[in-house]
Parts: sequence; C-alpha cells; structure tokens
Amino acid sequence: MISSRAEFHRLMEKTINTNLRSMEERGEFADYAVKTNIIESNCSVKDIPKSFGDYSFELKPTQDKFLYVMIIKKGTDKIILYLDTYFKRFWKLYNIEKSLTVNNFISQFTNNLLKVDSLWMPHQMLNDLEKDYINVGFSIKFKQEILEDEELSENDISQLTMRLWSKGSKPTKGLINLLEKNNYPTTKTSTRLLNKKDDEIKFLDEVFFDGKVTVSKGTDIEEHIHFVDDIIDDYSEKMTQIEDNRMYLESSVGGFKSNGYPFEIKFSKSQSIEKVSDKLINSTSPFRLWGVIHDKYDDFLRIAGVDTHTGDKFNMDLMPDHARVYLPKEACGNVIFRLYTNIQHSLDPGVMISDEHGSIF
Amino acid sequence: MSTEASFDHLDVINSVLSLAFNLESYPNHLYKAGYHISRIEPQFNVNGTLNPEYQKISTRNLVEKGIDIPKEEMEFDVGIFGKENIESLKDRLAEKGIKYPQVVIDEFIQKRYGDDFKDPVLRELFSEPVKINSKPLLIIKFVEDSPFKKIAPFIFNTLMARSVSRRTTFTSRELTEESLGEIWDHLDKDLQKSLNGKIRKFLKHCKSHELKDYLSNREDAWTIEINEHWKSRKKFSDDCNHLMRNLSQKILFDFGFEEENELE
Repeated sequence: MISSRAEFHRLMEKTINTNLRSMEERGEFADYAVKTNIIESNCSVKDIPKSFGDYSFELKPTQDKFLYVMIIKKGTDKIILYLDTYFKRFWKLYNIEKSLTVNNFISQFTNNLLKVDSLWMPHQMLNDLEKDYINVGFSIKFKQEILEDEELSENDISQLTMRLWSKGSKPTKGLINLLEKNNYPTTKTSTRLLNKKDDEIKFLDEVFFDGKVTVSKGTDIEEHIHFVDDIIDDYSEKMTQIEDNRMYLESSVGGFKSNGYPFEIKFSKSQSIEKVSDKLINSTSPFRLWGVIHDKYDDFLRIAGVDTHTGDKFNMDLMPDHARVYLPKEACGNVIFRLYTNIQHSLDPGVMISDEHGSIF
Repeated sequence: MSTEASFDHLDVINSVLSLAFNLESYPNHLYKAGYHISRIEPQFNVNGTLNPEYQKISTRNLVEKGIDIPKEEMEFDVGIFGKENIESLKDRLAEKGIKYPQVVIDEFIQKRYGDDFKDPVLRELFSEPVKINSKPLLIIKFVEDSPFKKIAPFIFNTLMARSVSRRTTFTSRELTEESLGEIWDHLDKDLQKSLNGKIRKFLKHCKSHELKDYLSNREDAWTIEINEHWKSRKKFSDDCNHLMRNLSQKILFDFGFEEENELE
C-alpha cells in the first residue's frame, strides 16, 4: 500500500514501463493500463457516503493531505483507486485495475452521488486537445435517441459508431475531413494523442469525453499527470466562463440590477419541441433533467426544471431552431456541459451553444 | 409567433430587457446599439397604483419616471409599448406635444410614431419591422399580482429541487423565498407576508388536489415526498402539468381568488 505521493508516482511509472517493455517483447500488456478519471466535485471527501449502490469503500489517508487510497469493495471483489483532491473542484481518480470494473464503479459513483459528476467534454474540447500532440486516432459515436426512424429524412443518420487508430495523424485528419465534407456526424467521444519529444514517446494517451484518460504507452508518468492537469485547466476555464453567466437579480437604487446571461443553443436543423422536451426532462440518463412545461405555444415552450444530479434549478426556453438555458445563482455549471454534449451525441451533432460573447466551445 | 394572447405587464418588461441581450432567438436592437440594462423598475407607480391599466395613465406619467418623479421634465430616448397600448396612447401623446420615438413591440418590433431617433444606429435598427419569433427572456419570473398559473411552475421545481437534495421539510415561507430567489430579501415585509399567504393557499390547494400523494403538512410544517425513481419523478411532473391545466378561474376562486385580488 502506498503512503506518499512519491511512492504513488513510482508505482504508476513502474507499471507503464513494465507494460511498454512487455508490449515490445511479447505484444501484450503485463499489467492493466494506468488510467485516470477526472471527477467534477462540489463536495468534500468527507461528504462521500461510505456505501452506495452495490459498493462500499474505505478511504485511507497518505502523508500527502490531498492523496487518498480508496479501497472499493463489491461483494468479494476488491479494487484499489488513488484519489487526488489537490484541485478542489476536479478530483483525479487513478487506477491500475481492469477497465470494465473501474468503469462500472465510476458509473455508480457519478450517478448515485449528488454533487459528484463525470466530465462531459463536447467534441470541440477533444479537438482542442489535439492541437499540441500528434492525433493518432479517435472514436465517434452518434445515436439518434430523440427522433424515431420514420421521422428521419433520407439523408439523416440514425447511428454512427467508428474507431480509428493510426500510426500518424494523416489518416485521422483525412477521415475527419471526409466525414465533414459529406455531412456525417463528427461527434468524437475519444481522441488518441501521441506526445513525442526528440523521437522518444513520452505518452500515448486516449482521452474520453467523460474525463477518462488511458495511458496506452508511456515512459514518463509526470508527462501523463501534467497532461491530465492541462485537461482540468481547460475544463475549469470553460466552467468559470459558464458559471459567470449564472443569472440573478440584485437590489439596486430604485429597483433591481440584472446579472448574468442566458445560454443560447442553436440547432443545425429545426426540431420538434415536444419530442425534444420529452427526452430532455424525463429524468433519465444521460440528461438527468426534470421539468414542468409552461407558456406553451405552437413553436415555443418554457420549462421550469431541476438538474436531478445536483438538485439545482434551471429554466429553459425551447423553440424549433433555438433553446435558451438560464442557470440561477449558485447552480453547478456542469449541467451545461452535460446538456450540450448529450445533444451532440443523441440529437444534433451540429448543435452550437453561445453566450454574450459568442460560441462557448 | 403571436404573443398577443398572454402579453401582460411582465411580458412587456421582459421584452424590453431582452432587447439588450445578444441573442439570435430574439431581436437585439438595444444590444447592437451599445445599450445595457442599468436598472429594472418592475413596479411602475402611478398615483399610488402599481402597474396600472393604460387607461389610468395620464400623459404626465409618460414623460416622467415611474418611481422617483423629478420636478423637471425628462427627455426620453425611446418609449416602447405593447400594440394595444400604443394605439390608445399615441393621439394623447401627440396632443400634448410629446414626441419621443415610440416603438411598438408585438409580433414585430418597429418605431411607429413620434420623432426620429437622435442616435443614427437606433434610427436604422428600428426603421424596418423585425419579426419576433419567440417569447422574450425570462428575466423577471413573476410579480405579486401574477396569476397562479405563472407562479405554479416555480413552486413545482422548488419542490422537486428540495426532494432531490433531500431537504424535504419546509415552511411555506421558506418555499416562497426559494421560489422567488435572491430578490426575496429586498421585498418589504408586507409584500413578503402577502406572497407567503398566497403560496400557503396554493400549497393547500396542491395537497387537496393533484399533488395529494406527495405533499403533507402539520400546520405550516410541510413535507414533500417524491420517490427517486425516474418514473416517479416523471409522474410528479405529469401531475404538476395536470394541476396547472386545471387552474381554472373557478378553482382560483375556491382557494383564494379574493385574497389574490386584495394584493393588487
């Protein structure tokens, strides 16, 4: 069991080096890959219940006050995760466990607990990460979840799933260009990035839209950690921008002053407001929104809603070509990431979202 | 989209405010011309009556600020009116020699009467009718004289927010405060009291009608219980929608329409 951050880094570095050698010698990993899940948190470690869903866990402190060892138990199975809470709002959960087992845990961890969520990176954010690295692959996943088959036109796509791995970035760029040219969805759900310095591979990481980062290859764990911190910085910057737009009235001489700005969503094609609202506010995953409809007309409806993931309220106006979302003071901005990213994945890959200053992503 | 059916005082305020936001889904004339909102006066006080019908407005009120009426005459850059109001007031304004640019906001927005704008940007922006395709922004949600139908959605989502965050017991005053948001602390005590009374009556109505399976109370200590399963939450929203549809005038009378009028 590790007891300090230095020991923890040594453990991860040893794993990636062993895996690299094993891949070169035997063509397979010796151990499970090092993975990091970024978790969006609005609570302290003490607020996490010791059991939830099918899981129970123990949290063991280390010499580093921000680093904990999480021993997760489900029946007789046990896995170990390493929780780094250095960034108060964005925790890092490292592990060297079987991917499926960790995915199942993370899913329950982020779904069952109020105030804890995964990241929801729209494809533009994944694209932005590619600028500093060699892009050697991606996954695309689009599934029309709102409109029925009979409501789609001849040119509409109901589902597209694609995964490309390449040695260099040329095939990756070529395929994206081809998809864009032919109006196919390019909603990336992951991107594979190669970090090479002086011909040496520092890491080959795959970043998923939900904040999971897997080390496929690597020699330097600090580079991976630094990369994860960069993702957190980008997400955090967008979060600040979003939360600065929270709307509220405050008292001013002789009346009130209005603060904040609504988010305006622009669909790439006209939508049925009834069908969209039915899907958005039925309280189910992935949107996880609840609402009542009021002020309804032929081509306009207004929703007084609640983010069932946090208990925060929101308001929304829905029109065939646009939607407006109003976040109240103190509401968690992750609902905007979740809403926008899932509209991309399940309704409209070409959807845009803006605030006063233009496009957010 | 026609907004005539429900275009009330609050809609006019929200419409004018919306013009100062940079939106594609609503005209942004004032934003484009470089204006921003510095103060909102939701209560337009004319001779002691708040937000009166336009017939009660004297011409003097249209050249003076609603709240802190100054002695000297004020010069307005623009007056923005709902369609019916402008048609009723334009002749009276003209007779009194009041010439500020008068803009109508309805299915279209356009300068209709009065002098030209001094600001060439505003002159250009308001010269042609621009179609309004949606309702204005929701900036002020409701005021004390809003009908229950306008208030109800914000009570319902406050109940759900409490259920989700497991703050299931509350007083009617706490619920009123949360439904109103941050402006609650800035309302005078009498207004807080009357709003609280209105919401308490509404809660009683909800409890004895469509929300009877979710709400319970002992005096003014209320409890909301909604199962966490998505189907239960969906059923709650269906029941809320059902309740709103049934908020007919008769029912309003049954549970406090008279008190509602007293607030005006």
